[in-house]
Amino acid sequence: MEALAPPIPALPSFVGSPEPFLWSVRGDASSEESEEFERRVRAAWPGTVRLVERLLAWPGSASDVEDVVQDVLLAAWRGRRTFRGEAEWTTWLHTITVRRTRNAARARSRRERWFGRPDTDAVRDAEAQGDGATPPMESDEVRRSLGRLRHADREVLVLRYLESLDVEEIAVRLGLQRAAVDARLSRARKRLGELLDGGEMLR
Amino acid sequence: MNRDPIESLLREADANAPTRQIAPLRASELEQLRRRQLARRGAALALVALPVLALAWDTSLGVHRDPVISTSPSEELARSLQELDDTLASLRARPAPPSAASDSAAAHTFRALHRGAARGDESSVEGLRWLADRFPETHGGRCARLFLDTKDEARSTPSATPIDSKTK
Repeated sequence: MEALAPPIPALPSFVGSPEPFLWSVRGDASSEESEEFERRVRAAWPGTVRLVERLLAWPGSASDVEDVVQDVLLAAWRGRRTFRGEAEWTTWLHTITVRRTRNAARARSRRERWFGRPDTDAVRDAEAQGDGATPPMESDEVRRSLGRLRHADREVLVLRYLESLDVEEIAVRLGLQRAAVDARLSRARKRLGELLDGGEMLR
Repeated sequence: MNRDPIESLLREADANAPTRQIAPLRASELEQLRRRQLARRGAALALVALPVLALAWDTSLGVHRDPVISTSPSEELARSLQELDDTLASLRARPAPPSAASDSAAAHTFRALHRGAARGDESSVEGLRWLADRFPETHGGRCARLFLDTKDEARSTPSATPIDSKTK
Protein backbone atom coordinates (compact mmCIF):
# COMPACT_ATOMS: atom_id res chain seq x y z
CA MET A 1 0.00 0.00 0.00
CA GLU A 2 1.31 3.44 -0.87
CA ALA A 3 2.01 5.89 1.94
CA LEU A 4 0.01 9.07 1.87
CA ALA A 5 1.71 12.43 1.91
CA PRO A 6 0.82 14.61 4.89
CA PRO A 7 -1.64 17.18 3.61
CA ILE A 8 -0.87 20.87 3.85
CA PRO A 9 -3.49 22.43 6.08
CA ALA A 10 -5.63 24.81 4.11
CA LEU A 11 -6.13 28.17 5.74
CA PRO A 12 -9.67 29.41 5.47
CA SER A 13 -9.91 32.70 3.70
CA PHE A 14 -10.76 35.09 6.54
CA VAL A 15 -9.28 38.25 5.21
CA GLY A 16 -11.31 40.23 2.77
CA SER A 17 -14.53 38.30 3.22
CA PRO A 18 -17.52 38.62 5.55
CA GLU A 19 -17.93 34.84 5.81
CA PRO A 20 -16.12 34.16 9.12
CA PHE A 21 -18.06 36.92 10.79
CA LEU A 22 -21.34 35.63 9.40
CA TRP A 23 -20.42 32.13 10.55
CA SER A 24 -19.72 33.41 14.05
CA VAL A 25 -23.15 35.00 14.46
CA ARG A 26 -25.12 32.02 13.18
CA GLY A 27 -27.02 30.44 16.01
CA ASP A 28 -27.29 33.71 17.94
CA ALA A 29 -30.66 34.41 16.37
CA SER A 30 -33.48 32.70 14.51
CA SER A 31 -32.40 31.31 11.19
CA GLU A 32 -34.73 33.71 9.40
CA GLU A 33 -33.14 36.70 11.10
CA SER A 34 -29.63 35.39 10.42
CA GLU A 35 -30.39 34.77 6.77
CA GLU A 36 -31.80 38.25 6.31
CA PHE A 37 -28.74 39.77 7.98
CA GLU A 38 -26.36 37.65 5.89
CA ARG A 39 -28.07 38.63 2.66
CA ARG A 40 -27.78 42.31 3.55
CA VAL A 41 -24.17 42.09 4.73
CA ARG A 42 -23.05 40.25 1.59
CA ALA A 43 -24.67 42.92 -0.57
CA ALA A 44 -23.22 45.82 1.45
CA TRP A 45 -19.74 44.33 2.07
CA PRO A 46 -17.80 45.77 -0.93
CA GLY A 47 -19.25 49.24 -0.43
CA THR A 48 -18.48 49.17 3.29
CA VAL A 49 -14.86 48.11 2.78
CA ARG A 50 -14.45 50.79 0.10
CA LEU A 51 -15.89 53.50 2.35
CA VAL A 52 -13.63 52.55 5.27
CA GLU A 53 -10.64 52.57 2.92
CA ARG A 54 -11.53 56.00 1.65
CA LEU A 55 -11.98 57.35 5.15
CA LEU A 56 -9.04 55.65 6.82
CA ALA A 57 -6.41 54.44 4.36
CA TRP A 58 -3.72 56.59 2.69
CA PRO A 59 -2.00 56.36 5.11
CA GLY A 60 -3.27 53.28 6.82
CA SER A 61 -2.82 49.57 6.61
CA ALA A 62 -5.07 46.78 5.40
CA SER A 63 -5.36 45.55 8.97
CA ASP A 64 -6.72 48.93 10.14
CA VAL A 65 -9.39 48.69 7.47
CA GLU A 66 -10.23 45.06 8.31
CA ASP A 67 -10.50 45.82 12.01
CA VAL A 68 -12.90 48.67 11.43
CA VAL A 69 -15.02 46.67 9.00
CA GLN A 70 -15.29 43.89 11.55
CA ASP A 71 -16.25 46.45 14.22
CA VAL A 72 -18.93 47.81 11.91
CA LEU A 73 -20.41 44.37 11.33
CA LEU A 74 -20.39 43.60 15.05
CA ALA A 75 -22.16 46.87 15.80
CA ALA A 76 -24.69 46.20 13.03
CA TRP A 77 -25.36 42.71 14.34
CA ARG A 78 -25.78 43.88 17.93
CA GLY A 79 -28.01 46.76 16.90
CA ARG A 80 -29.98 44.91 14.22
CA ARG A 81 -33.20 45.15 16.22
CA THR A 82 -32.87 48.89 16.59
CA PHE A 83 -33.11 49.30 12.81
CA ARG A 84 -36.63 50.56 12.39
CA GLY A 85 -36.83 50.53 8.62
CA GLU A 86 -37.36 54.28 8.36
CA ALA A 87 -34.30 54.57 6.16
CA GLU A 88 -32.59 52.15 3.79
CA TRP A 89 -30.58 49.47 5.55
CA THR A 90 -27.46 50.56 3.64
CA THR A 91 -27.93 54.13 4.92
CA TRP A 92 -28.11 52.78 8.45
CA LEU A 93 -24.96 50.71 7.91
CA HIS A 94 -23.27 53.71 6.30
CA THR A 95 -23.95 55.74 9.44
CA ILE A 96 -22.45 53.04 11.65
CA THR A 97 -19.46 52.84 9.32
CA VAL A 98 -18.82 56.57 9.47
CA ARG A 99 -19.01 56.59 13.28
CA ARG A 100 -16.83 53.54 13.80
CA THR A 101 -14.26 54.85 11.34
CA ARG A 102 -14.24 58.17 13.17
CA ASN A 103 -13.50 56.34 16.44
CA ALA A 104 -10.66 54.43 14.78
CA ALA A 105 -9.24 57.63 13.29
CA ARG A 106 -9.31 59.25 16.74
CA ALA A 107 -7.57 56.27 18.30
CA ARG A 108 -4.95 56.35 15.54
CA SER A 109 -4.37 60.05 16.01
CA ARG A 110 -3.91 59.55 19.77
CA ARG A 111 -1.47 56.73 19.04
CA GLU A 112 0.48 58.85 16.59
CA ARG A 113 0.63 61.75 19.04
CA TRP A 114 2.39 59.47 21.53
CA PHE A 115 4.43 57.22 19.32
CA GLY A 116 4.73 59.07 16.03
CA ARG A 117 3.59 58.02 12.59
CA PRO A 118 5.45 55.22 10.79
CA ASP A 119 6.97 56.73 7.69
CA THR A 120 5.25 54.37 5.31
CA ASP A 121 4.68 56.84 2.49
CA ALA A 122 8.33 57.13 1.52
CA VAL A 123 8.84 53.36 1.52
CA ARG A 124 5.77 52.68 -0.58
CA ASP A 125 6.60 55.47 -3.01
CA ALA A 126 10.04 54.00 -3.56
CA GLU A 127 8.53 50.55 -3.97
CA ALA A 128 5.97 51.72 -6.49
CA GLN A 129 8.66 53.43 -8.55
CA GLY A 130 10.77 50.30 -8.47
CA ASP A 131 7.84 48.27 -9.78
CA GLY A 132 7.40 50.61 -12.69
CA ALA A 133 3.81 51.01 -11.59
CA THR A 134 4.10 54.58 -10.43
CA PRO A 135 0.73 56.14 -9.93
CA PRO A 136 0.46 59.69 -11.27
CA MET A 137 2.30 62.07 -8.93
CA GLU A 138 -0.70 64.32 -8.77
CA SER A 139 -2.96 61.57 -7.41
CA ASP A 140 -0.31 60.67 -4.93
CA GLU A 141 -0.14 64.21 -3.69
CA VAL A 142 -3.93 64.46 -3.45
CA ARG A 143 -4.15 61.26 -1.38
CA ARG A 144 -1.38 62.41 0.90
CA SER A 145 -3.07 65.77 1.41
CA LEU A 146 -6.36 64.05 2.13
CA GLY A 147 -4.56 61.99 4.78
CA ARG A 148 -3.26 65.19 6.39
CA LEU A 149 -6.68 66.76 6.74
CA ARG A 150 -8.63 66.61 9.99
CA HIS A 151 -10.87 63.56 9.97
CA ALA A 152 -14.03 65.70 10.07
CA ASP A 153 -12.91 67.49 6.89
CA ARG A 154 -11.97 64.27 5.19
CA GLU A 155 -15.35 62.76 6.04
CA VAL A 156 -17.36 65.39 4.20
CA LEU A 157 -15.07 65.38 1.17
CA VAL A 158 -15.20 61.60 0.86
CA LEU A 159 -18.95 61.41 1.33
CA ARG A 160 -19.64 64.28 -1.07
CA TYR A 161 -17.21 63.60 -3.91
CA LEU A 162 -16.27 59.95 -3.72
CA GLU A 163 -19.48 58.46 -2.37
CA SER A 164 -21.50 61.00 -4.42
CA LEU A 165 -23.93 61.80 -1.62
CA ASP A 166 -25.82 65.07 -1.57
CA VAL A 167 -25.72 67.45 1.38
CA GLU A 168 -28.98 66.13 2.80
CA GLU A 169 -27.72 62.53 2.78
CA ILE A 170 -24.42 63.56 4.38
CA ALA A 171 -26.34 65.42 7.09
CA VAL A 172 -28.25 62.24 7.94
CA ARG A 173 -25.10 60.16 8.16
CA LEU A 174 -23.15 62.68 10.22
CA GLY A 175 -26.08 63.69 12.42
CA LEU A 176 -25.69 67.35 11.43
CA GLN A 177 -27.87 70.12 10.03
CA ARG A 178 -27.62 70.89 6.32
CA ALA A 179 -26.05 74.28 7.03
CA ALA A 180 -23.37 72.65 9.19
CA VAL A 181 -22.53 70.22 6.39
CA ASP A 182 -22.30 73.09 3.91
CA ALA A 183 -19.98 74.99 6.21
CA ARG A 184 -17.84 71.94 6.87
CA LEU A 185 -17.63 71.15 3.18
CA SER A 186 -16.55 74.63 2.30
CA ARG A 187 -13.90 74.61 5.06
CA ALA A 188 -12.64 71.19 3.98
CA ARG A 189 -12.34 72.29 0.35
CA LYS A 190 -10.40 75.35 1.41
CA ARG A 191 -8.01 73.33 3.59
CA LEU A 192 -7.45 70.72 0.91
CA GLY A 193 -6.79 73.49 -1.60
CA GLU A 194 -4.18 75.00 0.71
CA LEU A 195 -2.49 71.66 1.17
CA LEU A 196 -2.34 71.01 -2.54
CA ASP A 197 0.68 73.19 -3.26
CA GLY A 198 -1.11 76.21 -1.88
CA GLY A 199 -3.77 75.78 -4.55
CA GLU A 200 -1.32 75.38 -7.46
CA MET A 201 -2.88 72.08 -8.52
CA LEU A 202 -6.34 73.59 -8.71
CA ARG A 203 -5.37 76.16 -11.29
CA MET B 1 -20.22 71.02 -18.17
CA ASN B 2 -16.93 71.35 -16.31
CA ARG B 3 -16.51 69.30 -13.20
CA ASP B 4 -15.39 70.93 -9.99
CA PRO B 5 -11.53 70.73 -9.87
CA ILE B 6 -11.50 69.40 -6.29
CA GLU B 7 -13.93 66.66 -7.24
CA SER B 8 -11.89 65.75 -10.34
CA LEU B 9 -8.68 65.52 -8.34
CA LEU B 10 -10.29 63.43 -5.61
CA ARG B 11 -11.91 61.04 -8.05
CA GLU B 12 -8.70 60.58 -9.97
CA ALA B 13 -6.73 60.01 -6.76
CA ASP B 14 -9.31 57.50 -5.61
CA ALA B 15 -9.27 55.64 -8.92
CA ASN B 16 -5.46 55.42 -8.82
CA ALA B 17 -5.32 54.50 -5.15
CA PRO B 18 -2.88 51.71 -4.38
CA THR B 19 -5.16 50.66 -1.51
CA ARG B 20 -7.32 48.70 -3.90
CA GLN B 21 -4.49 46.31 -3.19
CA ILE B 22 -3.13 47.75 0.05
CA ALA B 23 0.60 47.14 0.16
CA PRO B 24 1.70 44.90 3.01
CA LEU B 25 4.15 46.42 5.44
CA ARG B 26 7.78 45.92 4.54
CA ALA B 27 10.37 44.52 6.93
CA SER B 28 11.75 47.96 7.82
CA GLU B 29 8.28 49.26 8.64
CA LEU B 30 7.52 46.18 10.69
CA GLU B 31 10.76 46.63 12.59
CA GLN B 32 9.84 50.24 13.28
CA LEU B 33 6.40 49.24 14.54
CA ARG B 34 7.84 46.43 16.64
CA ARG B 35 10.27 48.81 18.34
CA ARG B 36 7.43 51.17 19.18
CA GLN B 37 5.34 48.32 20.48
CA LEU B 38 8.22 47.22 22.69
CA ALA B 39 8.63 50.74 24.07
CA ARG B 40 4.90 50.87 24.76
CA ARG B 41 4.98 47.56 26.59
CA GLY B 42 8.01 48.69 28.59
CA ALA B 43 6.19 51.83 29.65
CA ALA B 44 3.08 49.86 30.64
CA LEU B 45 5.19 47.38 32.60
CA ALA B 46 6.95 50.19 34.42
CA LEU B 47 3.60 51.72 35.36
CA VAL B 48 2.48 48.43 36.89
CA ALA B 49 5.77 47.40 38.40
CA LEU B 50 6.78 50.64 40.12
CA PRO B 51 4.00 50.73 42.75
CA VAL B 52 4.55 47.02 43.46
CA LEU B 53 8.28 47.60 43.89
CA ALA B 54 7.61 50.59 46.11
CA LEU B 55 5.30 48.49 48.26
CA ALA B 56 7.84 45.68 48.47
CA TRP B 57 10.54 48.19 49.40
CA ASP B 58 8.38 49.67 52.17
CA THR B 59 7.56 46.20 53.43
CA SER B 60 11.17 45.09 53.52
CA LEU B 61 12.11 48.21 55.49
CA GLY B 62 9.22 47.67 57.87
CA VAL B 63 7.73 51.08 57.02
CA HIS B 64 4.24 51.65 58.41
CA ARG B 65 2.21 53.94 56.22
CA ASP B 66 -0.67 53.84 58.68
CA PRO B 67 0.31 54.06 62.37
CA VAL B 68 -3.15 52.86 63.47
CA ILE B 69 -2.63 49.43 61.91
CA SER B 70 -1.24 47.15 64.56
CA THR B 71 -0.45 44.22 62.26
CA SER B 72 2.95 43.95 60.61
CA PRO B 73 3.35 45.12 57.03
CA SER B 74 3.92 41.59 55.78
CA GLU B 75 0.66 40.42 57.39
CA GLU B 76 -1.09 43.40 55.91
CA LEU B 77 0.30 42.59 52.48
CA ALA B 78 -0.63 38.94 52.83
CA ARG B 79 -4.17 39.90 53.79
CA SER B 80 -4.48 42.30 50.86
CA LEU B 81 -3.26 39.62 48.50
CA GLN B 82 -5.71 37.14 49.99
CA GLU B 83 -8.56 39.62 49.51
CA LEU B 84 -7.46 40.20 45.94
CA ASP B 85 -7.37 36.44 45.39
CA ASP B 86 -10.87 36.06 46.83
CA THR B 87 -12.22 38.85 44.64
CA LEU B 88 -10.66 37.31 41.56
CA ALA B 89 -12.02 33.89 42.47
CA SER B 90 -15.54 35.25 42.93
CA LEU B 91 -15.29 37.07 39.62
CA ARG B 92 -14.17 33.88 37.91
CA ALA B 93 -17.03 31.95 39.47
CA ARG B 94 -19.56 34.25 37.81
CA PRO B 95 -19.03 34.03 34.06
CA ALA B 96 -20.49 37.19 32.60
CA PRO B 97 -22.03 37.20 29.14
CA PRO B 98 -19.69 38.80 26.62
CA SER B 99 -20.03 42.55 26.61
CA ALA B 100 -19.70 44.65 23.48
CA ALA B 101 -16.23 45.63 24.64
CA SER B 102 -14.99 42.08 25.22
CA ASP B 103 -16.54 41.01 21.92
CA SER B 104 -14.74 43.71 20.11
CA ALA B 105 -11.47 43.01 21.91
CA ALA B 106 -11.73 39.30 21.08
CA ALA B 107 -12.44 40.11 17.45
CA HIS B 108 -9.35 42.31 17.27
CA THR B 109 -7.26 39.67 19.01
CA PHE B 110 -8.52 37.10 16.57
CA ARG B 111 -7.55 39.26 13.59
CA ALA B 112 -4.05 39.84 14.94
CA LEU B 113 -3.50 36.17 15.78
CA HIS B 114 -4.97 35.00 12.51
CA ARG B 115 -2.55 37.16 10.56
CA GLY B 116 0.30 35.49 12.44
CA ALA B 117 -1.17 32.01 11.95
CA ALA B 118 -1.62 32.64 8.24
CA ARG B 119 2.14 33.27 8.06
CA GLY B 120 2.71 29.90 9.73
CA ASP B 121 3.57 31.24 13.19
CA GLU B 122 2.90 28.42 15.65
CA SER B 123 2.64 30.69 18.69
CA SER B 124 -0.20 32.53 16.96
CA VAL B 125 -1.99 29.21 16.45
CA GLU B 126 -1.53 28.56 20.18
CA GLY B 127 -2.94 31.99 20.84
CA LEU B 128 -5.98 31.19 18.72
CA ARG B 129 -6.48 27.99 20.71
CA TRP B 130 -6.37 29.99 23.94
CA LEU B 131 -8.83 32.52 22.53
CA ALA B 132 -11.24 29.80 21.44
CA ASP B 133 -11.08 28.10 24.86
CA ARG B 134 -11.11 31.21 27.02
CA PHE B 135 -13.75 33.24 25.15
CA PRO B 136 -15.93 30.69 23.36
CA GLU B 137 -18.98 32.96 23.45
CA THR B 138 -17.41 35.91 21.67
CA HIS B 139 -17.28 36.34 17.90
CA GLY B 140 -13.48 36.31 18.03
CA GLY B 141 -13.52 33.07 20.00
CA ARG B 142 -15.89 31.46 17.57
CA CYS B 143 -13.83 32.56 14.59
CA ALA B 144 -10.76 31.11 16.30
CA ARG B 145 -12.63 27.82 16.83
CA LEU B 146 -13.68 27.76 13.17
CA PHE B 147 -10.11 28.38 12.11
CA LEU B 148 -8.74 25.60 14.32
CA ASP B 149 -11.44 23.13 13.28
CA THR B 150 -10.81 23.85 9.61
CA LYS B 151 -7.09 23.44 10.14
CA ASP B 152 -7.52 20.15 12.02
CA GLU B 153 -9.94 18.90 9.40
CA ALA B 154 -7.47 19.67 6.63
CA ARG B 155 -4.77 17.81 8.58
CA SER B 156 -6.90 14.74 9.14
CA THR B 157 -8.15 14.52 5.55
CA PRO B 158 -5.90 12.15 3.59
CA SER B 159 -4.27 13.79 0.64
CA ALA B 160 -5.21 12.54 -2.80
CA THR B 161 -1.56 12.59 -3.81
CA PRO B 162 0.38 9.54 -2.65
CA ILE B 163 4.06 10.15 -1.85
CA ASP B 164 5.20 7.31 -4.05
CA SER B 165 3.53 8.72 -7.10
CA LYS B 166 5.57 11.90 -6.59
CA THR B 167 8.85 10.07 -6.31
CA LYS B 168 8.25 7.82 -9.20
